[in-house]
Amino acid sequence: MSWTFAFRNLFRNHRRTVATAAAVIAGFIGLLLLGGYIHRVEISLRTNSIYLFNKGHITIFKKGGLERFGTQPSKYQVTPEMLAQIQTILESKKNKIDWIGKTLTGAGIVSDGDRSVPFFATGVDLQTLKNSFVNQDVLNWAIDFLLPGTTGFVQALEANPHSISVTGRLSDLLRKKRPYSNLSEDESYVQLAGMTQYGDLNAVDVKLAVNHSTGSEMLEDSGLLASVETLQELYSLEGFHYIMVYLKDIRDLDQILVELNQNFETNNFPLQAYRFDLPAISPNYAGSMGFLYVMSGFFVFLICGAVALSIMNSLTMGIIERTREIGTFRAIGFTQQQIAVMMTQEALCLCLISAALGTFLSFVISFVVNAANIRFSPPGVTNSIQFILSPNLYLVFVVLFIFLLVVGLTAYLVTTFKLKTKIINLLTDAGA
Amino acid sequence: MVLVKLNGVKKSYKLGETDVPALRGIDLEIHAGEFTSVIGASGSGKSTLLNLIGCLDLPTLGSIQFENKEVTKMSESELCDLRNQKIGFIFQSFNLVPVLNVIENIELPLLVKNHLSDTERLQRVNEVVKSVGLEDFVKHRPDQLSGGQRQRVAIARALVTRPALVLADEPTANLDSKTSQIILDLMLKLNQESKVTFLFCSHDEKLIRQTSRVVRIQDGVIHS
Repeated sequence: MSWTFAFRNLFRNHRRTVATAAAVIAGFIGLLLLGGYIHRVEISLRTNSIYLFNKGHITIFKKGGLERFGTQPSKYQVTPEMLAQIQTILESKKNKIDWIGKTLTGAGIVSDGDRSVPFFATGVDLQTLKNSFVNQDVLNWAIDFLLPGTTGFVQALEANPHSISVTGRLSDLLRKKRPYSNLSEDESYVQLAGMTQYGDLNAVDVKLAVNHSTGSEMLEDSGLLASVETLQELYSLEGFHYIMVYLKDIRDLDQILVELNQNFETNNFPLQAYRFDLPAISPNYAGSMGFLYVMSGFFVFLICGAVALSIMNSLTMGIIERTREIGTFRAIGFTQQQIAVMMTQEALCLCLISAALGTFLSFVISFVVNAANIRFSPPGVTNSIQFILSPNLYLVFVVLFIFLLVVGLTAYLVTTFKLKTKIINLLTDAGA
Repeated sequence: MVLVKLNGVKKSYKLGETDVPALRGIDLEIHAGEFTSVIGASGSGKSTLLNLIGCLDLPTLGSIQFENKEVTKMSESELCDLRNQKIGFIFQSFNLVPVLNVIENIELPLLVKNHLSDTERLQRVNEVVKSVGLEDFVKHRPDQLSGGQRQRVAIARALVTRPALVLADEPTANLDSKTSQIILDLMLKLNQESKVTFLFCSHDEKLIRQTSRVVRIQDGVIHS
């Protein structure tokens, strides 16, 4: 009967119940939408890092390659033999692996004969590009980072392996008008120059095919996307900067990562596997999420504090209003703890009802906000991004758990403290 | 058989810096099956006496024994058990829970220990509902009942645990004279038929005269 009793008690003082419920609902909506926003940003940045920044779920370097490949590429490249070893190790886990990709990066000068502009190139294997551009997560969550036409790079590479994609600003620096299909054959060719592993200067003629965005303001002046083979030719390398492992299910990440590193260690392979979310692998992801987690922690603290104060206030008023009744309960044998539990159940009951309403309103608000297509440009990001709120049931349960904990604890502590009054004082309504 | 025994019980309250004596040394025995009434003017100490016997408060000095067990030495949980199992309370203002119906109000004391099955509990409640004549009002809430009916609910609630002692602190103070008489008659009938021990406190001489034993209290001292 105690839950029924708790529920009925909510109707005693409608005004107070509505005021407290409003505070809990507002807090619930606040946390759920904040969670929904962080969830969207997390998936979006994660997808961007894994698929569009070509880091994979797991990134494998030659030992020391993460730090030193830029200065000594020949020494720290992942050789084709090492790649074969990695493929052999991963063969036993192929049911969990989507595909294995290869990346080579490097810097140099791109020139059309008139103008020369420095570039930072990323060379990716065709399969990775093909798979990434049609990946469902990319289409659902990171479409803002994918410029229209970027996906055409795959067809361009298939037609001509020496095709490249450059960022819009690099294109402007080269004074190449877009779209490149309007350029003559001569105008569409540029030359990439770079230092080979032997210290010689080498050059490769490539064809401007499409544009892309790196998503990062810092890289937008110099971003260049090519096939891994083009960059191998340019730098006279056989190997790769790193190997990416793309998983079917991100939940397998930790297990596969541990097994991989154990395997490398056991077999004395000079390789090291890293998670995609390390600051050294995905600085954009790690930095943004670190900031968001700190900020959301602060908001969670504020919202929970406000909710706890509302519950404290409501319960204190409830105890004052029902002093004599509490005295009667004590007189007929209820212990202080039993009464505290009853009052806590009442607060939890209100919390559950408010949570249900809060959940409903959160989804309505999210729908309206998402339908309004509000766009903004975060600092350091080239494109405008849609402000999307994506609360989900998992978040609902997390926020509900936090609220039940805060409300339950607050209610129990306040009631226990307030009930430390003599029974006769309660019965004569001399104040709790 | 002595149910309650008070020896040299004194009780004083703090009023600012001053100690105000409410009971100045009470010696009293209440026997099982008795219907004892306590009469006294307002402020004479009769409610304090009932509060001490009902273990709602502890004396400043003296001893209170309930079924030969010293109450002043009991822990808080033992006192809760004693109040729940051995004592029934009937209050002047009925003290019913407004959101619960008659049945639910009456079964409240049985939920403290929750040692009865649902069927047994309902059976107990129905017994007392019948004994106070509220069969037709079981689903009513207190605000749908008259003062007399509310006090009947309070009586039923006090009886449902089959207590050794029922304490009634001015149970008729908020009722008209006709209803007061009906309530007293009901309590007398329960005392005679079920041998429930009642300690009834009032300042109404007319009602008090109908009880078998009268204890007069004045300025915190028993006079007869």
